[in-house]
Amino acid sequence: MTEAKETHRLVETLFRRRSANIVATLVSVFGPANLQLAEDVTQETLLKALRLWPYRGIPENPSAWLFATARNIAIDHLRRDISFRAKNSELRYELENRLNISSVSENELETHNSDMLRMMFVCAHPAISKNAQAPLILKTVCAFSVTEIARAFLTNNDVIAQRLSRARKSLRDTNPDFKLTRGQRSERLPAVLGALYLLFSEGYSASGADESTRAELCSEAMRLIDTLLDSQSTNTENNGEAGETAALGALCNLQASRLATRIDEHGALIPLEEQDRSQWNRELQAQGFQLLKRSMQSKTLSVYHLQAGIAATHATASSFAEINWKQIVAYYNDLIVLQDSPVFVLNRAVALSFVEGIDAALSELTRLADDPKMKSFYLFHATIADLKRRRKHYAPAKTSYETARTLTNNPAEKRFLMRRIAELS
Amino acid sequence: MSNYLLLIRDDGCAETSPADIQSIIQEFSTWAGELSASGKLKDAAKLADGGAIVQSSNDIITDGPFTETKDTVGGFFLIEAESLDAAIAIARKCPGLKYGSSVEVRPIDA
Repeated sequence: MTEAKETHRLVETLFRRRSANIVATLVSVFGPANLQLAEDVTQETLLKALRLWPYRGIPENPSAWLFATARNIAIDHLRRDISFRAKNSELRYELENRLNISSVSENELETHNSDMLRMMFVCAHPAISKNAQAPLILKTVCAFSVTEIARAFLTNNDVIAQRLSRARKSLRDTNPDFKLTRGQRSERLPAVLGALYLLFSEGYSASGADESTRAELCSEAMRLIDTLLDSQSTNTENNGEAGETAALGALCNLQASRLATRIDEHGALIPLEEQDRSQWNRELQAQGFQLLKRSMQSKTLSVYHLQAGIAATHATASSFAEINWKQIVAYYNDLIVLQDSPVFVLNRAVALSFVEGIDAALSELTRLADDPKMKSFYLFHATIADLKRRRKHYAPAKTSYETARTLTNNPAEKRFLMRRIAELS
Repeated sequence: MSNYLLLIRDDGCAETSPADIQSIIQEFSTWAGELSASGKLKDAAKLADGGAIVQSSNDIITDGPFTETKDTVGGFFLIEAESLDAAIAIARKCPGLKYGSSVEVRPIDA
């Protein structure tokens, strides 16, 4: 290689996306029981690119290269593994058909999307522990690393690795089909939506990642929600389900519309009252409202409907002073009935402070004071600090801010908290 | 101006995530691309697995270095630089370093 090579720019999410495509295709061909094999072949493929491309340069068609390489590695495994002997030529035919250069064309995109969706639902198989379903989706469909998943769940790598391992074993033991019945998909929808929301939340608050990764995770989540919604919309029996998915989509779009104004040029969080509303993304807001409309086809309101309602209430206020806090408190009341989560109670207290006063809000929060999850949650202490600050109880406010600061590793959050502490000193 | 051989030894990194793999590749593409554009890159290649080690006239042939061994050279870049220090400066920017690889810089004897 002596002639100058043009520096190619890889599309931001290429490796994540192709990794997911390849895993899904291989699981489709080999069956969910062979998930480990699918992941191994995929990882081998990516590592091959890692070892080769730095020297040879990025190929003209990176996706085609990845698919062809995965195909060859998979066929190799086929040849060497006696358990596949009986179906060898049939599987080989599948692999050659599904992982070739035309697989990258636009018409094949639909097949890839359906496989990705089916993969999400496979990961929500009832035999897999509830606490392993979202991690499995994040690993296989969203191509998260174990480290990224551990951060999203506020736990460590070993815990996640073990959950994933057990999940794969469950799939080996139950040996389910890749394709599901409508009933199975309905049953598993909550788990799938939960994982997609986790993916979005990780991007939105980014416990450890940099700016571009954050935006990437959010848009990946929204893209998958879109894909899911598309598949549900062709089926008129699922109105309620499509409505719930649309609600999640609305929530994500409305929250994402504020992303640009969340962090200032020093990398610190900007509180809501200081955000420049003119910078909120109009297009995402519009999409959010459209999806909110679609979500109304549901006959019952889910947590996503209610949270989307709250996000919409914020989006429609043209200034901080005009926020309809009463409306927001009402939404939280309904949310808490559906899901008695301390985080909802915490958020409700903030809204309540603008409707019934700060003292009412603070007394709400004393109810949560003994909850161990809250004691170690930075936002709990930061909220108390903020309420006390507004109440002009500066010394206790500062103490609570200090506590909050020790409980978060997120640099943007830390900087914001230090700013508040400095203001009170 | 002389030629220098940069020998890259990889760390293995089997657990690297797809996003990280893409970052590393993109960084290499930029690093090598800049060298190429400035005319400093003469050659580059990855060394394939296997091979052999041939020793002495007794025809002792052992299987070549295996890629699981950390000390095996994974590939090389042949560059042109004004001095060893300049070559080292280039090697210092090699993206592999961040991920556990090491770069051996050897001057080609003119």
